[in-house]
Amino acid sequence: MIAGNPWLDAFLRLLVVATGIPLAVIVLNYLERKVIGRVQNRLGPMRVGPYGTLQAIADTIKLLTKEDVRPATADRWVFELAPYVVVVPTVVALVALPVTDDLWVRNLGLALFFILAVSTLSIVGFLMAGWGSDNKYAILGAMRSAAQLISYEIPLVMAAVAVAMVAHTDVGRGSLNLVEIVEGQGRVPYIAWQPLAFFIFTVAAVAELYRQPFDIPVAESEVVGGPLVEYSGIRWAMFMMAEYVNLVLLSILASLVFLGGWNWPLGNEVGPALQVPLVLLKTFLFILFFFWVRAALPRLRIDQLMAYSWQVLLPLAFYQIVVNGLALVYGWPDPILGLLSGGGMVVAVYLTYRAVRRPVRRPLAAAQRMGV
Amino acid sequence: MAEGAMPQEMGQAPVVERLRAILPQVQWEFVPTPNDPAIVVRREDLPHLMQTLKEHPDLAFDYLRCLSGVDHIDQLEVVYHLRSFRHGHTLAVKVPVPLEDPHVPTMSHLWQAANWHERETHEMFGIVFDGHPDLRPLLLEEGLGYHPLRKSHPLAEIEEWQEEFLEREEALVAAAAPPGARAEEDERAKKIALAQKKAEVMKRAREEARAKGLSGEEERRYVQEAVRRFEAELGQEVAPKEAPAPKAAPADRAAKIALAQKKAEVIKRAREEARAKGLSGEEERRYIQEALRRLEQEGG
Amino acid sequence: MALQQEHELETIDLHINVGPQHPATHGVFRMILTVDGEKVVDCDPVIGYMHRGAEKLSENCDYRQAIGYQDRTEYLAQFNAEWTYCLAVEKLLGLQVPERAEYIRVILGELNRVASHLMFMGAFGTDVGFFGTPFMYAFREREVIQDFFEAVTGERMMYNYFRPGGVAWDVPDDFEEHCRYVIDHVRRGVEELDALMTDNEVFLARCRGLSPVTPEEAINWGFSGPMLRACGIKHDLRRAEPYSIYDRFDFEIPTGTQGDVYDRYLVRMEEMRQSLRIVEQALRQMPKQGPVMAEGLKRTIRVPPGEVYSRTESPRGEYGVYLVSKGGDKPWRLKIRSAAFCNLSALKNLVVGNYVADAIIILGSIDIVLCEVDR
Repeated sequence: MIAGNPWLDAFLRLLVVATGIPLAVIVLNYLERKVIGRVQNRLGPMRVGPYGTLQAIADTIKLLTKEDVRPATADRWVFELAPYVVVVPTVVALVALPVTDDLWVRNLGLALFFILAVSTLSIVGFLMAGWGSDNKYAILGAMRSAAQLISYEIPLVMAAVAVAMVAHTDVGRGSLNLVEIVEGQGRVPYIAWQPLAFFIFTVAAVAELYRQPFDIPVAESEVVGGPLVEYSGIRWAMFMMAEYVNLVLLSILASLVFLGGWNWPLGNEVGPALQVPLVLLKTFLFILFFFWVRAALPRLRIDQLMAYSWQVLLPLAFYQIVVNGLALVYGWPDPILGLLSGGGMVVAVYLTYRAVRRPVRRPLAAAQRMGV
Repeated sequence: MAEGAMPQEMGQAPVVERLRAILPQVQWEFVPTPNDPAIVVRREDLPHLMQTLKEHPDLAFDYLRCLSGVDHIDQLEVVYHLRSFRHGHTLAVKVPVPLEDPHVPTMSHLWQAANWHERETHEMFGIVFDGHPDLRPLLLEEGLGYHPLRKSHPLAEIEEWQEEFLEREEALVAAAAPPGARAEEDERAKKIALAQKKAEVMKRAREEARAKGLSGEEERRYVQEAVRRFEAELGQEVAPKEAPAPKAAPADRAAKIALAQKKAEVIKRAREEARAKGLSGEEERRYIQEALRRLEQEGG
Repeated sequence: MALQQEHELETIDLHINVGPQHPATHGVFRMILTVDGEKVVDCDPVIGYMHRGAEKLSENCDYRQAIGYQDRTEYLAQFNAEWTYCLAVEKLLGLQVPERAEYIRVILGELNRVASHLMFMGAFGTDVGFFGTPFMYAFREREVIQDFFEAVTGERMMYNYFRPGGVAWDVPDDFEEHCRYVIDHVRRGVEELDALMTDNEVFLARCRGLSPVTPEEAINWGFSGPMLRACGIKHDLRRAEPYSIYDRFDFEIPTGTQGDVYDRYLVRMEEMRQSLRIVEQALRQMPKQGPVMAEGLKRTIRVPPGEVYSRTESPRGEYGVYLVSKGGDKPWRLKIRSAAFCNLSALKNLVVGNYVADAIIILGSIDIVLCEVDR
């Protein structure tokens, strides 16, 4: 953007990201409460500011001015550093995320890899939070959260990698560069050729974000917040901020990798004035989907969640990669790939459906025997 | 209503007949009660009886509905209400328990429902259920020291005692007071009548004001006028009850507010001075009270 | 042997206190879970935090004052509690309740059942992990019902409306239209709630097959109400031991198949529909005019000596009042047999062997009301 001194350039780009983050968090917080409120037949925040728009700011002020309570028996440095370890990786991952052709902080050749790898570091933060809190609920929650995050990271990465394998570039197939991946989707977004990968990515993203139906680590009605139970004020706000930044990160990533980013359907030549809203629109669709699912579904138990990841998502992700590999080797055209992937998605849906209908264990005969 | 009929004579309920046929050696006494036939049995016969009630196919009482303790002052009693799902009949079994030896064999091995009921009856009445796996208190804290639902633990008695005490106190006070104050009891009734009359006056005045078209501040002033006239008519009956008033309190609301504000100022200044002088706690409070007293003496 | 012991991984069972203060325990209830990993090994429920001595206090009240204590004991289905108590007193006095009062009692009691089940839907949905959507939907309907109760009795919750011999006063003039409005509104709301929760895949995955109970176990443990009917036993006190005028109404008794958490939910959902059916029939059959209180009751009720155990089908199960009277104007012993108390006593049997997360759901499916458990 700003030519000249590369340091100044980098600094200004980072500044844009740094100001965008709090703005995004505030807007998303407000939006979530309104959307979920509407699903639940109520209005959401209405009092603070016109239609409650200043509610997030009021909440921020409240959280900033709250007393920072630290349990006396908590492991001091582990406890206090945990929020940072959760927030910083997600923010760092934003460095490699492009919004249009030219609007990025760094156009890394390994952007996809970098983003997924760095955002995984948050897991350590949750473990630190759980352990450092010296609270049984926190430890339980931290164990669950680590198990869940690790289990769902794998299908997430594999789905993204599957798409990266078959991304059309100028020199052939396969690229981890996000700009190139988007530019390869000029005519058709990759969701058409890789619906199975899209399905796996979306489900794994919901699990990564700790949202219903995968929110058991921070379940309110069971482990009362899980690893976050002992945090208050600004530290808790940092965890929430990390959640929203992660939400934005994964939504933009999904819209870039699967929905064609800024490229489809308008094309590459249209200026950023149209491309940025397009990307934001697609991101917003994903975010809305996440909010909606949160409002409508209960939560899965930890063993069901793990079983789903390891027994359904992972084999299907393998299948997708194998199919992609075969397509690359034998030069199958994209529609064939789309068909095979679509078949895989039907299998996925069927397996999900079957997994939730447990067989009836004991028959009615007992009652009939008793004659009642 | 199906089960409402009260059996008029002993042993008319079919289940009791069956019981008599199956267990002729057990002594029991039939008590007619509405809804369920009830039998009173001896404590010694209880285990055998309950076992038979549960397991005999013609009786088959598989459901323990309720297990209560009752305190009859000269003895305690445990009452079991049973129901049979297979036959649909019900039965109440009452077991008198002597006060000096409050032990009853447990039924929790027959019906698990009895477990918590027996724990509760134990802590409330002190009846010990022999053989119960875990007779901890259920609702009350451990180590309470008494059994609340026993009649010997007074509830009504304390209140009655308190009432009698208060009445005696009032009688003493009335006897010791000068004869003028004898009208204490009438005072209260008079006050009530007065308040009712005042309310009437206010209501009428408000209606008149509304009819005249007044509202808000004017209406309030109209009502206040009417009340003042009413009080002037009554004259000395409206004299304040607390005779030694410290000073003539200003009737005007604004003046009252000004007085309160002045007092608050004085208190604030006094507190600051006290803190500047280094006083704290009790001394600071005394200093403030001094300042207030000086204010009152200056008048207001 | 010693070598084997050295190599075994030593683990300690974790004691988790699902404490008196917890968002999911439906009141002040404490469960001490002994947990091995994620599985519950032992469960010790601790109750008594809401014990206020209602039984003892009732011995000091005359027969009309004690109605207030019944309200506060069973605070979600107050009319059923009052009804049971009034039935006990009426049985001992030999009172005949006038027709119109009986119909009013039935209408209010059944709508109270619907309100209580709606509360269950909301709370249970929150336990299972819905973010509050069923809660909001259910409470929207419950508000409509509570408005109706307020129009009739003047209170939103502690009604104190039934009296031995009838009801305290006659219903307002727009009772019938208001009731029809309530029935329509609630019926639609119940269908919406059904569509939201019943076939939800995740809900099924959590609740289907969780803690099944055989009929023999259920009877032995003292279950009643939806817990018992979910096991397949078609037992409802309104049919088995009919009280009041329930023999005039036509309604089904829903039962489940395996007594698991999902069956209990299904039974309650269907019961709401059946209750609305009963209310409709009662509205049609109700006499347009008539007394609402039995004749000849004095200012102070004196009950002749005797004892009675009266029971009704409350939303949680069998609510029983064992009343012992020795003459006089105060009860000698008033024992409240509450359904939640008996259902909760089997918590250990239900929870042991399941996961911790399921323990909360099982507790929610019993539908406890702490004041009823503790009295």
